[in-house]
Amino acid sequence: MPEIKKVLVANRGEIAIRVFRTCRNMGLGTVAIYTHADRKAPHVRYADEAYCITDNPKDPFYLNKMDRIIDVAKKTGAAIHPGYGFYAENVDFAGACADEGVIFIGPSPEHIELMGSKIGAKKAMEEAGVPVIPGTKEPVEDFEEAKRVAEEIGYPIMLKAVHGGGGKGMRFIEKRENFESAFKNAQSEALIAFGSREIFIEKFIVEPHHVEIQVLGDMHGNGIHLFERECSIQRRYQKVIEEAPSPFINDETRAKMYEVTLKALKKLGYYSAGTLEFIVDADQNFYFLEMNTRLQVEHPITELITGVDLVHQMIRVAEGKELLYKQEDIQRRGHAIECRIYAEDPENNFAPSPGLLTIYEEPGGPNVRVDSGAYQGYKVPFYYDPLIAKVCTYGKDRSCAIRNMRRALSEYKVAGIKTSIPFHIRVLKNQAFLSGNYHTGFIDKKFDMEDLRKREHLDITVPVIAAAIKQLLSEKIAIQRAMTRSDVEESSEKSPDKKP
Amino acid sequence: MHVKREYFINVGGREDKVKVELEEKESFYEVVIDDNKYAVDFAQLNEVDYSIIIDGKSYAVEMSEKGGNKYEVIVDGENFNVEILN
Repeated sequence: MPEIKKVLVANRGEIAIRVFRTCRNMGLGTVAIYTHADRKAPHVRYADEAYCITDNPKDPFYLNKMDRIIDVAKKTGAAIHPGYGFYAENVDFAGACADEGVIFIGPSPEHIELMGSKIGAKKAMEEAGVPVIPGTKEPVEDFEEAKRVAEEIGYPIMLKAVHGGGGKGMRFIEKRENFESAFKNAQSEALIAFGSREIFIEKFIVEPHHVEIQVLGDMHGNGIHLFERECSIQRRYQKVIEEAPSPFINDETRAKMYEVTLKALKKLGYYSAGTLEFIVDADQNFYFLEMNTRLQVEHPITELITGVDLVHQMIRVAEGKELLYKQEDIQRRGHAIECRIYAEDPENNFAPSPGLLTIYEEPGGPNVRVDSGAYQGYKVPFYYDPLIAKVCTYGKDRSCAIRNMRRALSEYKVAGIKTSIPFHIRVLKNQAFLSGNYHTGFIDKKFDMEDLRKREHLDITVPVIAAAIKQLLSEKIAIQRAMTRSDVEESSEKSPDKKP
Repeated sequence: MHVKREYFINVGGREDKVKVELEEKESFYEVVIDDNKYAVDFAQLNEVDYSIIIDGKSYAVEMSEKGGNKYEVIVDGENFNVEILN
C-alpha cells in the first residue's frame, strides 16, 4: 500500500472537520468537497483544498456524485475518508475507489456488503458465536408453522415482513391469543406493500438497552475492542445522547460482550473501525443487532475514555500498517458523555429548525470537547442532517461527566434557530437518566415533554433590562443620525454652489 | 444628554406586559420594574455580547436584534424573545 499524504473527506459538516483535524496532526494534506449550497460551510474553509462537486447551483446534494468525488481524489492524489452517512457503508463507492486505485479509508467492500445485509450479517455473527435475537432463520408463510415457532421463542414476539421497511408488515404480539389475527394482518399488509407474504418471527426484547462495542482491526489479523457505549437515549430510533462506559451492564456481561466481539472480529478478518451494536435486556442478556462498518457519530466519547484517536488508526490501517495498539494497551479511564446538538425544535416534536445563527458561542474549558460545523453568521441549510455539533464531556466518573456536561450546555449560546440544547439540559436532570438504568423507550416513557416548556429561570428581570437599555441606545443612535442628516441637508441647501 | 424613557415589554409571548422605567445617569442606568429599583452597569462588548451588572450581580448576556423592536436575549443558557411594545 502506498503512503497516504493527503485525505479527501467525502462528507461535510462536523465530521469532515473532525477528520481533517487528525490529518493536520499527522501532517497530511486535506481536501474538502462542497456543493454550491454549502459554499460557506466551515469544512470548506478548514481544508487545504476544496472542490465543488455540483455544476448546477440549484443542486444541493452530495449523493450521486461518486464519479466526481473519485475524480477529485485522483486529481489531488488523495485517499478518501467517507465519514459517516453519505458514502460510508456504500459498497459501490468503496469498490469504485478500489477499481480506480484510490485508497478508501475504511473496511473492505466485502465486509461492507456482508454487514449491509440484515440476514447475511446475522448469519455471519451467529456462525462466529455472537448471540442473535432468537427467531426464525428462514421466512415463514404457513400459519401453523408460525404459531409453533412463536411458542418455541416465547412471547412477546415481533413479526417482521421479510422485504419490509417503515414499519409495514410489522406487528408486536404480547400474548398467544393475539397471534392469529396479528399474523394474518401482517401477512396481508406485507403482500400489499411488498408483494410477498413472507414473515420473520423474532423475540421481542422488553425495555431494551442499546449497547455497542467499538472495534479496530488491521490487515495483519490484529483486532482490538475499545470498550462499549450506551446509546439508549433515542428519538425516532436516532441516538441523541451517548455515554461510555454503559452505566447499565455489569462487569460479567461486559466481559462476555468483549469476548464474543473479538472472536467475531477475528473470524471475519475485519479491518478499520467498526461497531457491533447489541440489544441488552433487563436480565443482561445481549443479542447482536447490526454492525456499522464505519466511524460512528458518537466515536469521540470512546476517544475520551481511551485516549485513542480512531481516525488516526483508520488512516494507518488503510496504508496497510499494523494498529499502534495491542489489546492490553487499551485502558479505560473515567466516563464520557456526548450530547448531539441538532438544529431542531424539541418543543415542536423535534421539527427541523434551519436558519441563520445570529448568536453562536461554543462551550470550552476543562474536559469539554466540541466537534462542530457551525459559526456565528452561518446559515444552517435545510438540505442536510440538522446536526450542528457534538458536545462531549469527560469526568473521573459518571456524575463528574454529567456535571461537566451541565456546565458546558449552560455555556452554549445559540440564537436565531431552535436547538436541542434545552432538551439535553432537562434529560441531565431526569431521575431515570441519573440512575443510569434507562432504556430505548426513555423519551416516550420516562421523559415528560412538558418539562421542556418549563423555564429553568422564571425571573425575566435580566432579559427585560437588557432589551430596554439596548432599545434606548438604539433610539439615541437613530436620533443622532437623523440630526446629523438634517445638519448636512441644511448646510447643502445654504451652499452657494447649490443649483435652484 | 441623559434621557428618561418608559417602555412596555413583552417576554416570550406572555399575556402580561412589563412596564420598565429607565433613567440614564452619569455612569449607570436606573431601572424601575414593578416598584423595584435597580442600578445597572451596561457594557456592549461586541455585536452580540454584553456584560450587565445589576446591583453588583454580574451577568453574561448575549443579545441579537430581530428587527421591529424585537430581541432574542440569552441569560444563563436560557433564550428569551423580548419585544418592546411602544
